[in-house]
Amino acid sequence: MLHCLNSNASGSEMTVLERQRATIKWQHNNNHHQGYSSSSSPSPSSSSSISLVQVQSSSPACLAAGAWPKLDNNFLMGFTSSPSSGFPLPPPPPPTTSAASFDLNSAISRTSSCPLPSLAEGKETTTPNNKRKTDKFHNTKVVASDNDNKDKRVKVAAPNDSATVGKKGTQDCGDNSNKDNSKVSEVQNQKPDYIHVRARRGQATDSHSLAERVRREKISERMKFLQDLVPGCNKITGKAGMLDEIINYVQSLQRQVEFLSMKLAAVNPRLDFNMDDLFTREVFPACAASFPAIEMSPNMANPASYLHFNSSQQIDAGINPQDISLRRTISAPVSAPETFLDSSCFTQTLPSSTWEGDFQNLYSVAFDQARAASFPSQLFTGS
Amino acid sequence: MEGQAAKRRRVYSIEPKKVVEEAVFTRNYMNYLVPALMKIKAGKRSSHCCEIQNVVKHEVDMAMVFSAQGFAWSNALKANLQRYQNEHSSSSGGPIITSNNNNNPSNSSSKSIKYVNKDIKGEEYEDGFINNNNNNNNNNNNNNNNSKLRCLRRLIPGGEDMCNEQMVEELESYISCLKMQVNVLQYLADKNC
Repeated sequence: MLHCLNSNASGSEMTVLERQRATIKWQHNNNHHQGYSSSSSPSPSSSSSISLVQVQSSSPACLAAGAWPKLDNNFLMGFTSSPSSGFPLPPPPPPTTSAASFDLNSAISRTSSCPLPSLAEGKETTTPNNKRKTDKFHNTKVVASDNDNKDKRVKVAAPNDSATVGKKGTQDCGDNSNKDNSKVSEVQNQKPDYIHVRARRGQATDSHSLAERVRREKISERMKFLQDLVPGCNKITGKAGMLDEIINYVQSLQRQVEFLSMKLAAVNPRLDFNMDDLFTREVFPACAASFPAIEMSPNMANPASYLHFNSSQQIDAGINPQDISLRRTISAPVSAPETFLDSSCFTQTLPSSTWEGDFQNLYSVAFDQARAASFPSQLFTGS
Repeated sequence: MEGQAAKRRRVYSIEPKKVVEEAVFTRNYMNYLVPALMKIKAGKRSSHCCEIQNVVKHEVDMAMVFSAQGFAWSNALKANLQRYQNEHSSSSGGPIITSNNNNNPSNSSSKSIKYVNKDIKGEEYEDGFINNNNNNNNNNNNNNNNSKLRCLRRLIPGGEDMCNEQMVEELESYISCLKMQVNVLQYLADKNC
């Protein structure tokens, strides 16, 4: 790695990642005798442009916490946005060679212009996307600072606050502007759990835009989960359509709740001991509980279908009947209401009418034949 | 202002996803609601039907809160309900019209919020629809999406204080809890007819 740095005299070709690795190695070599300040110490004053490199897989804590203040001077200087000579060799130990370090002001913007070598850390390198100025590595988030000659503290953006980089920066560094893609802030008590973003070709590389993109991607990820929840969303691919569906669904559910609660209020309830019984039997052993519980709700349209539903949800082939019965029992009383909504989905599956018939059907579908034969008998003997 | 609010909202830490278990939810829900309903029925025989409706609604929402603890929306719902309760424990007990009434003094209650949402959604949806029809600019689509997200934000209790990310997360649990709630209520209602 070091030789690589050496060889790349034109620092524009130096990749950020290589710099990081070099940093780490340098760190290990010329370490703590320099009396590292704590993570909260401000970066050296002479650092004009400091960029922050967050490395996920390498020792993030030490890097983030201890490394930057010292590194800033000579190492991170290289990450400035001003195009200049090549990246300095990290070895120069004394952090005071600011003069030399200013030479190192190879733009981070320029660094990523070379295709990244595939690095051991398993970072993706998408070569076509490396041409961007402030391209970031897959596993790193680089924030280049602006060129103010003031004490800037190096802060690592917290993972979930990737968008707050700007915010916190502005709090700490008075006039840190967003204009030139940079924020410098210091590692405070943040966990080394960073969001790693790569700016794609043709896309804005502003830290805010990147953060925005991260957020958007997260949101679309979540929307995929929602697709499973909201029925009928599988065919819809667009975000707008999905949102529409979700809105409609939530509204319809809420309206249903209101309607049902009004209905409940209007109805003279025999709000019954049945409920309590249903729940007290939860703790009973399997065979005793399930049968009476199911018996007690005669209006259940398709109890077998519900059971089938539960079983298909809960049961793998490997679960033994004991567990099945127990689990079924516990869920049977409390899930009784779900029958109504779910039975509509499952009416086709179990058309049989008789209770025993349903059981047989159910178990032949859900279980091995051997188990199916034995289980119903288990269930009914106890009652 | 919106930008400022958005920035404020972004400071939020993503916690590991919580899954609401069906059985647990349903059990808690029933455990809460059934005795509450019985109490209502036993106590307020002569009350105005609207009042009973409100109280039932209140209990329904409270049951929801207790069955799904730990979500932002449930905390917000709880706060709404408590506020509502405080407002109306002091009132003379006039029936609160749970109609499409935006001038409802207890606007903070979840009930009126639900109704208000319907109207708002109608407007927003129309705007979005018209936008869609006019042109398919990226800009318009973004506006579209934003307006829909705003709708969603109003739908979910406490959504105004959430950032988009958090809101989408909360939506998952909220939707599944709503589904389960509907099931339970349906069961109860059918059982007692």
